[in-house]
Amino acid sequence: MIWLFAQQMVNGLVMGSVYALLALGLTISFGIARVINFAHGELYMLGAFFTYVAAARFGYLPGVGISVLGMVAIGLLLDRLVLKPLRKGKMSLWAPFLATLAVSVILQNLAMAVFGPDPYLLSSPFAYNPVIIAGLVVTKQDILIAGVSLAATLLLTLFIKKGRYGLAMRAVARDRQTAALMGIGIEKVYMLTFALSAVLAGLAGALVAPKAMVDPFIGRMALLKGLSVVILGGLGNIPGAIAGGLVLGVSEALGAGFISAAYKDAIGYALMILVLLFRPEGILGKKMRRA
Amino acid sequence: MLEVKNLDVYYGPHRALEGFNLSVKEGEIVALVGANGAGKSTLLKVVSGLIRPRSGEIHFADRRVDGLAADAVLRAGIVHVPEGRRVFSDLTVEENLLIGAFSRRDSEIRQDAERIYEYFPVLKERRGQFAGSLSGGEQQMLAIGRGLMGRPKLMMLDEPLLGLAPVMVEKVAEIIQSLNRMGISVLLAEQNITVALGVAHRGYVVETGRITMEGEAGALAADPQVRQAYLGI
Repeated sequence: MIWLFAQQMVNGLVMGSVYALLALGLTISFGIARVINFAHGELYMLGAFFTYVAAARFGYLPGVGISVLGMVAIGLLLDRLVLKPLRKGKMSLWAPFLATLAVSVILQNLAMAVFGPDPYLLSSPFAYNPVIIAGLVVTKQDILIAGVSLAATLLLTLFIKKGRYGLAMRAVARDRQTAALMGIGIEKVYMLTFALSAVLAGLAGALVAPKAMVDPFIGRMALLKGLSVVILGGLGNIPGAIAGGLVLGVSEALGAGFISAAYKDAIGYALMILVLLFRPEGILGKKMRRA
Repeated sequence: MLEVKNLDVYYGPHRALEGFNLSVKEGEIVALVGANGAGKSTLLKVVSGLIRPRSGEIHFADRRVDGLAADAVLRAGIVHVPEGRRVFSDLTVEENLLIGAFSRRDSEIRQDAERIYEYFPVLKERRGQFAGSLSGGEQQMLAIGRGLMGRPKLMMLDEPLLGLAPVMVEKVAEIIQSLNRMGISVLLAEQNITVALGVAHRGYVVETGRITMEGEAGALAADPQVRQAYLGI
């Protein structure tokens, strides 16, 4: 019983760190650019496919690196081609919502056209031969996932807190006209935001793919998980995204272990509904303020 | 130093400024006075590159600056302290100052921040606090300090006295005069005509997008028409 609890905690924290990565990307694009990116799941899917293609030639880890570079390009394209034209005049929440929904469908179908509907197995040298630590079974891939997620999260937090452009991002998030008066290149900040957001999503895809299969539609579930976490943690709230990711991962894993694996997703959504009912600002969210 | 020539500005079909001519000479404080909605803020926003004029020219220090983006105008030496202070409320006081220096790449940013703390000791005491926790007057000081971090040659202040307690109004008026003594030219858009004309060298009166009177600040303040229209005496 205690063993099962500990094992599921470990599994939950590993998945939770992936959820946190997904949610961080969503939360910065909402917090800074006021875009709820419905193509975020497809960024995750692209990250996995980029890694699959690159890994076939260069091996898994270099493949992840190449995928990250590819995601920078995708994030910039998303901002320049789709979101920038919508920023003229008053910022609406609806226009980017519909536009990114369209991007999501387009990317799914492009991936279908290129890769077909069948799932692919992305193999990683770390996914086999699990190690046993204190009686708990962990693959090296799990350790990689948790380690890279932790590092990415720390770097992002540090950058936003201390970096020159991190400061600019926070200023734009709060008041973009005054930020422009400070000489901040607003468009540069948006480009940076979506490049970062895409890298985080892609990284999540690249890391999880060896534990699951890759197909053109894996983004749907990824988006749902990411959105749940963002709601758990509070929209636009970075520590909330991290906490929310871990909470969702752990509760899913414990639910799967102690109730039934079939209810894993239901448990996540039940948690989300409870948070919406009793703490709509999110577990770490502040009370809603004028945005 | 600043020359605004024949400026026409529209918001959609609505004309906001018409045939607007204004100048600020080096070392001057110029007041731009008039009622709410007369077009004072619009002029400032056009100069700082937030709004594009339909026609007309703006020259600053022998360069044409109309049509430049906000960051280029800032680098040319014009700082715009917006109406309502607009400090970044969930950034700290210190971060607000640093962001005022965003356009700069030199190594003296820290020194400048220290100088501003010396000048506004209350900001130093609160350097780690969120700007949103400051009082209105303190926020105005922060907004001016943040503007100074951009090392302006010309500072444009939009309604810096609005909503301040009488003591603070006096204090901010003194600050404006001391900015001027530091060698910064000032364009002051203000509804508080008495104080604005009190600190300024020259003034312009704006009504519905047009300049209706201009002259020495003292003469304007003494003008019977101005007194009747704006001071009720």
